[in-house]
Amino acid sequence: MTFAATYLREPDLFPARIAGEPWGPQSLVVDFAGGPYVFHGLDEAQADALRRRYAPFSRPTGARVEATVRCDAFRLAPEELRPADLRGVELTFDRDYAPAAVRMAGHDLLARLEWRSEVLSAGFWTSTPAPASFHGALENVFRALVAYRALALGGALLHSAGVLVDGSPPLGVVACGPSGAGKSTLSRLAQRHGLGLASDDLNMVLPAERGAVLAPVPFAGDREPGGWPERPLPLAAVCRLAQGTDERLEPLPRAVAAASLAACSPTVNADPFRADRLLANLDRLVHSTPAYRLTFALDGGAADLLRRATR
Amino acid sequence: MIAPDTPLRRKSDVRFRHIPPETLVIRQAGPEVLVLNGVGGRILELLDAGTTAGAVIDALHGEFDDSDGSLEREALAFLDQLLDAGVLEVHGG
Repeated sequence: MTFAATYLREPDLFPARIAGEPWGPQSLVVDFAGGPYVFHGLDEAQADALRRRYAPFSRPTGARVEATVRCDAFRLAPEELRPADLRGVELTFDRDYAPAAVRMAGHDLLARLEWRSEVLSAGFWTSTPAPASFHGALENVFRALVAYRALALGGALLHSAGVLVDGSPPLGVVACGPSGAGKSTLSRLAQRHGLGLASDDLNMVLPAERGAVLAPVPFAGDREPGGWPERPLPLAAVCRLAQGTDERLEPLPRAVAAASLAACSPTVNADPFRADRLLANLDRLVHSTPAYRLTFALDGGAADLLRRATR
Repeated sequence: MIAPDTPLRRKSDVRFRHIPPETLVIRQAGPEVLVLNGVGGRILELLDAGTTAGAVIDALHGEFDDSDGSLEREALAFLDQLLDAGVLEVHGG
């Protein structure tokens, strides 16, 4: 099927460049690994809502900021969208990959990512003015931008639970698994037993002078956002999650570990122009960081297994 | 069923990387990931430019022990599995 035909009445009119009518004159700077990420074209309510949502990563916009990533928000005329009945439908995206650009289309959401010298630029179009819905649409684009920045920095953005094990500084453990593998459950169990949490949904891992680090990103899944670590923390282990009654922590062969991580690398793992780089990054990661299969029970000792993974 | 003269190649959405002793394969259409053993990874490499199953088997004969005479049968069965898994496709035929 033609790209975006599910979502647009005229898919051939998908924006060919990053341009359009902004929602307003407001900007927002969000600064964490891979950034600063600078958003333009927001109205006041949207900017305020996003500033609160991404605190404490939000920065004042008064000072001059050299954006590493620039994202412009534009209005999309509702009549351009194909009517959709979303009841019981899992929202997905069409993606179209090219050497220097990626296009995304989804329900009330169009995006175009372009690599221009050192800056990753994006245009984001939606018809949704209300801050809450606007944020939902924008975050889909934001996550893709962060995934590409992690890739460029030699790392990966991973669908995972990022757990912080006691220590000074705390040590990070990233636990990956497909939907339903238990990321949220593991996160709750870890917190119940006194461990910290970076995110129960998405975590960035980056290479470091020694090994790798878990770099905080402002994306949360089932839990209330907030409580992020203030800086990147040493990454002690990566785990592939499994649920079962026979709890254990077993070393994973490197290729199996890299495969597990590749399966949990959103957007980038389906990009034919950048997947080789992802595999190279993950290869390096599993050579520098121990990898395990972590099998845990709902009423068991997941926290102890996570502590053991850091030793 | 693959025969020795079946022309095969890696599908365009498949990427792989050797992480010895195994090979990581990602099929981007899914996306899905697979892990192959060393021989499987070598077969994928041999097929990279597109060739026949027979040419792959000839190359394997020069690289691996076949004292029990099972190499061809096992290689053809494995190629069938890769075809079913969407890693390979028959081309030019």
